[in-house]
Amino acid sequence: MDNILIILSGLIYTNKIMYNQAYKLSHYLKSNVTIKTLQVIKAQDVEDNNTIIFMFPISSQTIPSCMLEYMKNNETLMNHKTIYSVLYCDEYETDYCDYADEILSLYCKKTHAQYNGSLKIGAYFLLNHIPYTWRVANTLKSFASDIRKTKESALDITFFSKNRFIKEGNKFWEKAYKSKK
Amino acid sequence: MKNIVITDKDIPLELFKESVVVNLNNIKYSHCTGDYTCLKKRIPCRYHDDISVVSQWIGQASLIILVTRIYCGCFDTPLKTFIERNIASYEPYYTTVDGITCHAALAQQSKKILLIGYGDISEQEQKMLMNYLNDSLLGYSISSINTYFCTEGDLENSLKTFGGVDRG
Repeated sequence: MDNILIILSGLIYTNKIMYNQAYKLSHYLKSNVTIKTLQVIKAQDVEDNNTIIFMFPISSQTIPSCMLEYMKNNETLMNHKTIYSVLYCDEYETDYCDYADEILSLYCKKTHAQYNGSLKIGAYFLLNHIPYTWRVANTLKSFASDIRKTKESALDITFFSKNRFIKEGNKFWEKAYKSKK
Repeated sequence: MKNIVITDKDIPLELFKESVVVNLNNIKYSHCTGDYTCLKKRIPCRYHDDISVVSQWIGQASLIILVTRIYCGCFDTPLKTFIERNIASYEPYYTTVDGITCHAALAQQSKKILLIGYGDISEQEQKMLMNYLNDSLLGYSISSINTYFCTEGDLENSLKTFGGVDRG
């Protein structure tokens, strides 16, 4: 089994939320996994690992600017690596992640890396507020299984019904507004 | 103010006499941190940098011309960073448009957008970007979007073609 590197590549504050997810994924991968953020990663970290997993919430419906910068500056490092991504969006429909997925696919073609697909997760603001953590865990397990077998993956998951999502989502924003923090 | 040109490359100013031209390489602005305090607390962005002023200009403009390098079917970093800072232009609450959930833009005045993308851009990248622009609001209320793609070498000629478009 290859060494795996999970890169938390969202906007700086989102990495705090992503770390928990990355930790769970690394647990299911059952192999030598390193978790790094874009802010601290070194070229050697990428060189030492054959499989790279980019994990980030999309921003403005696309790749976050910090990740775009990293992609541009490290094209040569990606040569012959196997790449997966875990994409999060705050809306209900995981289709919002499609554009970021396409960009990554194009990037891998350009850098001669192998893009093996993604896991798309919708309604991510509610991840810690929903009674369905087992569903997230199961999907992460399936994704980890695909990675272990170096299989292509195209998974997605979102929560509630659309109407319930809007109700719960708006409750989340209202609560955040009233919170003193 | 009627129009604004936002560019990541030096362009001849005389081509856009009716517009404010903002070169993203010449202004100072911080990256969005992604903590969404602006949305949660419904307050302006915590950073009071050059983007605060540019955002006001954008609010008054009816035509926005974006000149940017295209990388892997996406705006290059300067414009992407700029657009990320625009998150405060959205309503935090979810709504549905054509059955799809989204955050509505707060902007009242609708704007026309002209994107001039340069670089080695394949047809696939053009298609990706156009789909993105059609689906995304970029934080504005948009009445129309037009796109034009060219190589970096052809940019000056292309800009000459579009020079005066701001006289509208």
